[in-house]
Amino acid sequence: MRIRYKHKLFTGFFIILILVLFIFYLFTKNNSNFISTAKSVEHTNEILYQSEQIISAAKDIETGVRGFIINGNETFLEPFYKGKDNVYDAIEKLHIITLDNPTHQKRIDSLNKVIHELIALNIKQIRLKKASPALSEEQFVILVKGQNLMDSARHITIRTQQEEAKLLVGMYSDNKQSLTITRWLVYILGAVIALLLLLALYLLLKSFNRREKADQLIQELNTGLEKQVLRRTAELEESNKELESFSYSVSHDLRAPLRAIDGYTRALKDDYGDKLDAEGNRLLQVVMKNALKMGSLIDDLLAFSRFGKQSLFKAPINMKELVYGVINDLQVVQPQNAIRFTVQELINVQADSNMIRQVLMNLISNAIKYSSKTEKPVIEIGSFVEGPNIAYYIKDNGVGFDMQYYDKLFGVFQRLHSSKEFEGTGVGLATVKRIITRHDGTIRANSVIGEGATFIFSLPK
Amino acid sequence: MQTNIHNIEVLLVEDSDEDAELVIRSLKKHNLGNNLVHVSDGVEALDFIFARGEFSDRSVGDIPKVILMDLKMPKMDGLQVLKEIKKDDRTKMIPVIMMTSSKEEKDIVDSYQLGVNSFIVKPVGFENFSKAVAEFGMYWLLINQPPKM
Repeated sequence: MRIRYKHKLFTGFFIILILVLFIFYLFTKNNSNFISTAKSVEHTNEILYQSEQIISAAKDIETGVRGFIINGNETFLEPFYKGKDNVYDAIEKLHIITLDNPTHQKRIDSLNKVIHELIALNIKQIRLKKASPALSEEQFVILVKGQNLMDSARHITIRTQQEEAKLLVGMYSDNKQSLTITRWLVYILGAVIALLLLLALYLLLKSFNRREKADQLIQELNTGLEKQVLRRTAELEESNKELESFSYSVSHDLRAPLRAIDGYTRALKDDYGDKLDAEGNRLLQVVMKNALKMGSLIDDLLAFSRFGKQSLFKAPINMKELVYGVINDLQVVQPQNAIRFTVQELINVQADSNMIRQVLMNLISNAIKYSSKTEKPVIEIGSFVEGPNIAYYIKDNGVGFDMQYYDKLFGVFQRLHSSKEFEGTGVGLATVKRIITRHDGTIRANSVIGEGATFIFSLPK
Repeated sequence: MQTNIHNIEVLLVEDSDEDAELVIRSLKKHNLGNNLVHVSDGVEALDFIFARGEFSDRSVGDIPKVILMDLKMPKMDGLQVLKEIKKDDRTKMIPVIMMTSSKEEKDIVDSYQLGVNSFIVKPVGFENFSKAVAEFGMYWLLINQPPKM
């Protein structure tokens, strides 16, 4: 659609351009026609003028000689001599300006001959007059002959003039015709150009309107989208709130019955334990253990969901302080005298300290848990710069894990050890990964079974 | 349980009878809280403390040594009761121990801002719960020296 429209517009303008150039060409051609016509007119006038000169000079010759013959006064011969000079001059000129016209040339040739003859006759006449003043018969014959020659010279000249006039008229009418054609062409082409321009204007306006409409549509869509985004955000906020109150209820209401199960079982054991045999007591123990396990499962799940939706409060963290704090807290819960903690230089970072504390808590307690069966457990904590990130590592010499199942390591409810070997809910590392991901960081681990594991998480500087 | 509503040592405000029973059991085990009154919600707690309604024959000056109160209760929650107690000059000296099932940071902060004296997160395990209750009971009932009113 777009391309076709562009193509149309381009073609239209191209046609208009060609038409304008054509009109320009016609005007130029007309103008040169006009100039050449003017020149022709001048040329014709010149021919007419020179012809007149010849006739007039010929008349002078005739009249002069005739006057002399009648009264013998030589002053009458003056026009003769003057006319003789003039006539040759005029013939020469006429000859030159009619070089392009062979018919004229031929005629001028014969005119030239006639004039020569006329002049020769008149010279003879003058000679005869000077010899005897009385008019002889020969002289009379010459007079008549001169008269005839004069007539034929006039006749030739008139023919030339007529022909020239005819040529001029033909040229006029030719020019007039071409002028008319040109005029009509200009009218038509002008009309076509005007039409094309109108069409172009129409197309442009149409396209402009279309664009305006499209813009309006885009704006409407944008407004709609904005509204939708606002609505969705509100919905999201609403569901977030619901989720929050849901997890609050879960943490509160699910724990209460569990507490009752554990508490009453313990009461039963305390008050009636001596009335039950060993198996009965073991069964009570199993009930209590599972109630506790479910309790920690709820806690871990809550932590997992909380760290997923809580907003980040990034601030500079004193990592050394944080790590020592976590180790101390863990020691308070369960003294780990056997474990040697080696804390290397720790680079400080900008992050949510509450969340990073949870990460350290989970990773270090894991390290403690999985090295609990090692003879001389050592847990090393350190950091290094890794490109644009700062990486922290927690390394233990515990049981490690099978790298074959690495892809399950950070999944929710995924465990690489049975509960019989090591207690756990399978949520801790998932929570860790979630927190690190929310910080735009990465976490990885490597291990050799029986030699320990290293967890490395990196956070942007 | 409410045989004697005068000169009581512990006021237990707890909507869950089971939890209440377990608390009482823990205290008893450590020979604490011999004179204990259990009320089931915030309104009743305030009636007791300010000697109103059911407890109008008490005197406000006859304050318990310690109040053990659940945070989440129907009608009126622990935080509101705490606010009322700490607002009144006659009762603001009473040590209040807030108990809750959840570890919501906000609840803890709110409680301390309203002047709570201790805050216990009720663990699922009864053993730890019992230990925590007994420790606090021991402190507030035996070790702490309240000001002479």
